[in-house]
Amino acid sequence: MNTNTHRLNRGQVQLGESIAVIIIVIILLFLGIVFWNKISNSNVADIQSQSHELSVIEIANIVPELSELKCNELSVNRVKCIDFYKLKAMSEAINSSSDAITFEYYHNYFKNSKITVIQVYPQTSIFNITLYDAKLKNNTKSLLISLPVNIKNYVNKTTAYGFIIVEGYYISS
Amino acid sequence: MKKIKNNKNNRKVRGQIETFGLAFIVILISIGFFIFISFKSQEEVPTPQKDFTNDKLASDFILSITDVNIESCEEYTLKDLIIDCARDNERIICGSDKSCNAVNKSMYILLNKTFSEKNIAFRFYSENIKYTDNWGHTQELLNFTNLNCTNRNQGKRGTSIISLYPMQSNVYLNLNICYR
Repeated sequence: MNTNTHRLNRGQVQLGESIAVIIIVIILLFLGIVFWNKISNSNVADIQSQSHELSVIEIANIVPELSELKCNELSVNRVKCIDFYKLKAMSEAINSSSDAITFEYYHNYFKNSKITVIQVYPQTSIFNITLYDAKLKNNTKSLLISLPVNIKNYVNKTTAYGFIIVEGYYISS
Repeated sequence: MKKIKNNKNNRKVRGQIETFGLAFIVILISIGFFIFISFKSQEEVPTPQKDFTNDKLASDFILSITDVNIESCEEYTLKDLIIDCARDNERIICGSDKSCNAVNKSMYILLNKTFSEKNIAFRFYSENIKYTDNWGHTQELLNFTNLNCTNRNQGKRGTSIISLYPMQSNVYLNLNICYR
């Protein structure tokens, strides 16, 4: 009788152990799934933000290479140089309210972004020209890239220093 | 009978101690794992935007500045003044400054506008432009550092070479951008 009770007790203990192990395994599995879910979510977010960044980089690479803006001396394009008068003309053409076709044309290149050229040196002639603006402000975040550039004025034959600022908009999730 | 009971008790206590030891090890491993994960998640991974900006900033800045006309003497570029300063002539006068001083002042403004105002750590230095200051000390003309950017933690680098022809030497302008 005593041996039977002893066995029963041992059996109960073993059953309890098994249940405890199963519960622990379930908890670990649950924690693992939560952890994995969090990591995969953050990976998706990373990929998304990387793709936004890459699209802004693509635009930043296009702008200084446009022949509509580049300095041209004796039929040779100068690197890292923007012609001031070309810049002014292009800005007027894109931002003209009567000419939507030009804006549409450059929208294919610049997409949802804002492109500004600012001159910071010489300090006596600082200016700021908005070349293109997709004007997407609601529920959008923006990424900003600024690149140093020379701004050449072929009338008074001076070269100034400034930045091309590319601000890429994307819808925040 | 008593001996058997004692033995059983001993085994039970030993079993408990072993279980606690195991639990302790598991807890230690878990804590270590969590510390590792939290440190790993705090590490700042360079994004394509940062990488691109730093790379372009260094090379584009160094390529752009040499062609810029100087504020107080618009007929000369920074390159003209650097060459004049490096040849020990100092023939060019910009306002009240000789060429070496004008280069130093202009560089300070350009670096300030491009890096210091945006809190970007950098080290900009020249090689081969010796300059004697008012106290008679000869030193390299250009040497600017921002936010403790040293050779140890430098990231992207840009270099520009200016020939001093007909002299057989070159001036080097170097820019290091540091990751922080």
